[in-house]
Amino acid sequence: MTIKQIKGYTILAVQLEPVEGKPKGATHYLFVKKHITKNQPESKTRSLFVVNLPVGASFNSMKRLLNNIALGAHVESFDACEYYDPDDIINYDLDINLSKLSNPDFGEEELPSSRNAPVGCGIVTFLDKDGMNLALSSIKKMVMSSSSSSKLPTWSLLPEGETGSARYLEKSSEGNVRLDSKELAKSVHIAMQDFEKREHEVQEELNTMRQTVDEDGFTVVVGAHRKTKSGVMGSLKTQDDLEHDDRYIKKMKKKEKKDFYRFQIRERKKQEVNDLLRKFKEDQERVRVMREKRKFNPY
Amino acid sequence: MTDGSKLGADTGSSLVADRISDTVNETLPAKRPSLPEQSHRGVSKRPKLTAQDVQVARETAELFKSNIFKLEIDELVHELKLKDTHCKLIERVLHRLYDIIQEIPTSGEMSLDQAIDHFIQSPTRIVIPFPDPKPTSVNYKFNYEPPEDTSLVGSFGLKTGIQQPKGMVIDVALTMPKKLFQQKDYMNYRALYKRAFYLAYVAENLIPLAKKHHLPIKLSYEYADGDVLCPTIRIDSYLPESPEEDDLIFEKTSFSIRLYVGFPFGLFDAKKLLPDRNCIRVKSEETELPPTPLYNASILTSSSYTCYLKYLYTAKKTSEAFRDACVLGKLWLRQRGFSSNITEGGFGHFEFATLMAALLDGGGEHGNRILLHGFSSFQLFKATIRYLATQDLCHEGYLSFCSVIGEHKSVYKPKRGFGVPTIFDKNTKINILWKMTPSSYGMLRKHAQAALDLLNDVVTDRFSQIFIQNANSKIMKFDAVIRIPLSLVNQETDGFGPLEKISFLTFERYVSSKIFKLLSIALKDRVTQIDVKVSETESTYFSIIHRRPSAGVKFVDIGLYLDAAESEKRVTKGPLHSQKVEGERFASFWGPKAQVRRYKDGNVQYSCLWPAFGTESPTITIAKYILDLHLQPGISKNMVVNSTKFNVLLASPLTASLGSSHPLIIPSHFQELHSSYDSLCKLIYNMESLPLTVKSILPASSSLRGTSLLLPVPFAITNPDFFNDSVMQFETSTRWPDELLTLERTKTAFLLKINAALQNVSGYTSYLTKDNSIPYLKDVVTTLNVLTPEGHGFRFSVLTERDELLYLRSIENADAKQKPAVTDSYIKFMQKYIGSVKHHRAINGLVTRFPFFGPTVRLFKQWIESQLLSTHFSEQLLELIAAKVFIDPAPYPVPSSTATGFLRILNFISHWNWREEPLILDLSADDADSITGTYIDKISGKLTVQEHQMMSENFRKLRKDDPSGNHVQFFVASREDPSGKLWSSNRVGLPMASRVTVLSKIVVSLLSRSEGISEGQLRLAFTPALKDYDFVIEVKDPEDMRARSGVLPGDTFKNLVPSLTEFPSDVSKFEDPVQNYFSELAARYSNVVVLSTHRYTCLSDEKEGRANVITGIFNPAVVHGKKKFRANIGFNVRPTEDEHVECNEEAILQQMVRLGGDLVVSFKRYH
Repeated sequence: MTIKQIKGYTILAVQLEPVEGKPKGATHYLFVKKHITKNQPESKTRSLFVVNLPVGASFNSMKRLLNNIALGAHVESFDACEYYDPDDIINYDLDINLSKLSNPDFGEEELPSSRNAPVGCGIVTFLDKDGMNLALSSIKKMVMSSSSSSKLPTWSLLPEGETGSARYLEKSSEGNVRLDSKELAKSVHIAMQDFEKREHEVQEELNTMRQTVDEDGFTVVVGAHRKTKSGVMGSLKTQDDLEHDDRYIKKMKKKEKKDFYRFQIRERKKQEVNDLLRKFKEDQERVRVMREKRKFNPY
Repeated sequence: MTDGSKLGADTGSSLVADRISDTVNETLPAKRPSLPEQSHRGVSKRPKLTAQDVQVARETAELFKSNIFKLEIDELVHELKLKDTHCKLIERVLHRLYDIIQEIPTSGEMSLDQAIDHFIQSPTRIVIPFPDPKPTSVNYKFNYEPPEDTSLVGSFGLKTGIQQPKGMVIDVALTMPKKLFQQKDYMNYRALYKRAFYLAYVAENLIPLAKKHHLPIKLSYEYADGDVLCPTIRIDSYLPESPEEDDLIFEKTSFSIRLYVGFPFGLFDAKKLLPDRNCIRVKSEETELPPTPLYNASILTSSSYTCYLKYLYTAKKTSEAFRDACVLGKLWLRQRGFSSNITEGGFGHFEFATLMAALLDGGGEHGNRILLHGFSSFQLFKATIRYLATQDLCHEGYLSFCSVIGEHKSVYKPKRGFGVPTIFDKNTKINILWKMTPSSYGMLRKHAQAALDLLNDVVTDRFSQIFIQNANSKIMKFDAVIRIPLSLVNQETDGFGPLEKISFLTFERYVSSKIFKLLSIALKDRVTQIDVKVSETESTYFSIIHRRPSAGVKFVDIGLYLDAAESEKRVTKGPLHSQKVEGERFASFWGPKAQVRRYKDGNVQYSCLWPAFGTESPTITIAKYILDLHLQPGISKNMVVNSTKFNVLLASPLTASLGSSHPLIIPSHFQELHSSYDSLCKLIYNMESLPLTVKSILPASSSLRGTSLLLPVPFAITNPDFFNDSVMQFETSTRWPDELLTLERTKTAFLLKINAALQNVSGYTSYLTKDNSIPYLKDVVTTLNVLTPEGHGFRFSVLTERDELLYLRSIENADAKQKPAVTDSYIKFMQKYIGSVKHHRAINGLVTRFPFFGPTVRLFKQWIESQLLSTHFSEQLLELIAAKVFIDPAPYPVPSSTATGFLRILNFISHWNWREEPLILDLSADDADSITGTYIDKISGKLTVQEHQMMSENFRKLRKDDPSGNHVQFFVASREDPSGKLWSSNRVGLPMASRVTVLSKIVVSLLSRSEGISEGQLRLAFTPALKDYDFVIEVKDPEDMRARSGVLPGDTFKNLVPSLTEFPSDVSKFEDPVQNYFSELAARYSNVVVLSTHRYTCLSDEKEGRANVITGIFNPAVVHGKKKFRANIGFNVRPTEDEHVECNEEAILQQMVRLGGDLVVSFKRYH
């Protein structure tokens, strides 16, 4: 592999430890660059952004690797987001907050479980900026100088105690892990209190709305059962909306008499014949399609 | 007779020519409607409404069931039409054949010895096909004179012939001249011997003459409709090595000609040949000889070929749609394995057409007409089917008609049945149904009743089930098939004496009849129909150098339709003890098994008690016993029973089924689980410490509805289905939080309360766990797990009236990008809560309604499991697919055995084109469930047309967006889920959906190819093909999983297996590590690889209960080709030279194997 960089990322190839008799030690590729965000401009950052992490990448495994490459760069912390989706259903490109969506007024703003890095990526934070620079430059140097014959740094996947029966006997499936009821009760209690606080704030806001008189001298009328602001706003259905409402249309239609005028009867009859014919034509079409698919061959 | 010349009363080629040219010229009476072309007139672009259009549309809606049905019938009739070119060719062949026959010289009178000598000296080596017994010395002469008449009879003559896979057979009848016979020749085979000579003489002369006339043909003998008294010559074309220009070769038409030799009509006194007369005199001690109905009917039939041709021809001329109705009838019978042949039920095209003709002349109890001449083909067909289905022509009455043209004298005579199916012709004195048996008649009626139901269905189009689908598969037709080698039934000891010989003619017929009678008495209500047939392996025709077909290996095939409610009962009850005569008869019939028992109701009755095996149905046990007792001692050892082999495949539970009378259909395990569940629910309902009381607890678990693969054995915590899900609802409240996450937390608070309350009840253990099954709600939802003192596990989640609203609101609030993802979470929610509960209730209804539904589903799940598919199909989806063959079984009846149910499911899947066809199920029970007042709507009543159309419309929309079915493969809709995709979206995937189709095709063809189903084949059907996958990881658990899963290890002694009596302290430590390994792999790599495993390790390894495999197929869309580099690509990549990335398969595999650690035994990469 001669390519060294891709879109500003330095490509660091690492050798995975071979596992007995199974696919011979494969090569894994990490993509590294400086971690820059709005809050952390280049001048301030002391983190590296690593793409394509191997399974079970942890603080220890990252530290071990960096110690190999750049001695002296001290890692402070490591955050990662691993792909983990039992039903292959989660869209990792999106951040979905069902709390906020289900109630825009007092849903939680920040979910505790929201991700700190894009899927499959990790952020290595060093003790200081120099450490980060040292690590990055060492990586770059190593990558640039490497040839096909040179030895790649090794990445040790999970240690012995974290694989196989040890891993899967200890770690039972999610549906069977006992939650500590006391702790659970505590956290539920806190969350409920938060919720009540948020609910209360919205209530307050609503009260102020009720009392404020706007420039034209109007006040918003708030019913006793209205709980939220958007609930109040949402209730103002215009005539336009009503015309699209099926239930409203049905109600209006029911009031009309249908066989009063002669033209109504005539039209209805015409409609019936047309329906009959349309169905007939449709059936013909269907049979034609079936014929093409040889649906009429009984053998 | 005005049209006599046309009908063949006179001789000559004009007849043949006439009729054939008629075939060609006469087009279909019901032309396909020529609609838009004519009405266009080229004026406007839109086709104008014409009176004719409206007329056609109106008429078809009335005369036919619906427009589409008429169009389909037209199309079908058109499809089945014989090719004109073929008919023209065959017309020339018939002309030539006619000329050849005219050239056959007379033979001169010969004695028997001379006749035999004549053929011995002939270079053709032909043998006279004398029927049994072979004549030894006769005092009359054999002679050949040119036939009195040569005519085209049968369906080709009537122009009702249809295309058939084995080719069309054209019947030509030669009538022997009167002067060859004496009045008494109907006696003792005399006429038959003369006919045999005549036939052989024709054959002998045909060979050289055909060559001379450039008609390359080959000849063989064939019994007419399986009647051993009536041999015919079968003429097939062949391609000579050096064909000459004049040679007429019709090989490509696959037509063949059958040459009948008949007697002149009215030659013998028909009264003496009535079914109750004896016409074969044998020496016997009995003063009165038994009647010979088969012999008599055979002779009369041979004298009336042209008579019926005239009769049917007249019917066809008077009723326009008669021809099409004949075609429909012929096809319908064919698809059900019926034909005029004795071995195929003895009811075919001829009998159907004659019945229709008779019904056009009357047929009611007072001679009123059943069919009217103006009926459409559909109406004729349907009314005839209704007649067959509703009128008993066997025991209660019979149909009498007269084949003299113009005499409309058909009348149904009630209360005068003969015990044999009868449609009696007063003109010819023939019982048209003489080839049928009570057994085959019963089968026919059963089919007719089923067809009538389908024809009356107004909701869906049943065309395909009535006409297109073949319902004659050997392995799927019956609930149970017993096969006995005929050679093992001893002729001498079995009472097949000279008297039986003359009334039954063949040993096969005698044995079939005897077995039918025996089983009818022995099995009574346990079976709804018994079909006994002697199967022949070789073809129906035989060489002309043999007198009769060589005796091949024959089997008696007994097909049983079981009554599911009766067939598993372990007691056969007889007469009361006080009824002496009946009691003695009972005791002598049942032999040593008969005993007198006292019942709970105080009755003392003669009875037989049968053992409960769990694998063999008592019905089979009884059949074996009674045939051993009355047919042949020890015959049951050589019986092959197909259904039992399937029952054995179900895993046997660790603990035996207790006190249950039906270990197969309702094992006691399910009842025990239920009672444990009920007492727990009662406990929760009565809890007073809760802020809101529990209003309902609704089960949603396959074990609680009796369809789980493994039986629920107490304390078997390694069983993947150990915890049974339930959904709990509290009384209505307005105070549920109006936000999703907090709502879930409130639910948790409630569960914690219940948990705390349960801690005080002795024997119960309970705890809360996380439930991350709904995406984007990570670590929020909780469930309550409860272990009961009886050794079962239950899991409760809470549903409120606010949940659905909040999800819907979230969808509304989401932006366009988020919408699909939020909808996914809503679908998951619906699956988990509302859908699964509705599904449970519907399926539970089916389990009680159809006794064999439960075991069939379990076997089907086992097959899916064995084929490494169970991780891809939800149990609900499998249950719904299985339900199809029970609630909508057409063209078969409802299966009443596990084997049949299972095979029909596979058959259905193998034919289901899920890309183009939805599966719409009517799960409503006959008696609607009585759970009321819940959030979930009550179900009742059958599916209406509107609902059905709505679901079809849903399917149409779905496929419009996704024609190849990338997102939803199996569309399975019911009233419980009109969207049709609740159980198949986001789970199955195209490759696995195609795989299940392919696998089921393979299994069906594998099992139907051979005669009986062998154990080896079944084993093969339940073995996965590992080499189809890209890679296979072989894994092994540290310990044997079987006992802990509640499965009885097959190879060890039962007392060596540790019994399970209590829960360990930490239940979670006893899960199957391989399954946890698989779950992690699936969670990490499901976007790159389609992974499969056996979900039940305990079943995958018969020896040790440890070994399993994890297989994978790389997703081609991900693995092949380069992708643009982006940080959140989501799978392991390696860079390419041109600044792109591609999937790094090797690294992925290495990491997978690494995770497995010591569980992994080996790794193989196949592709």
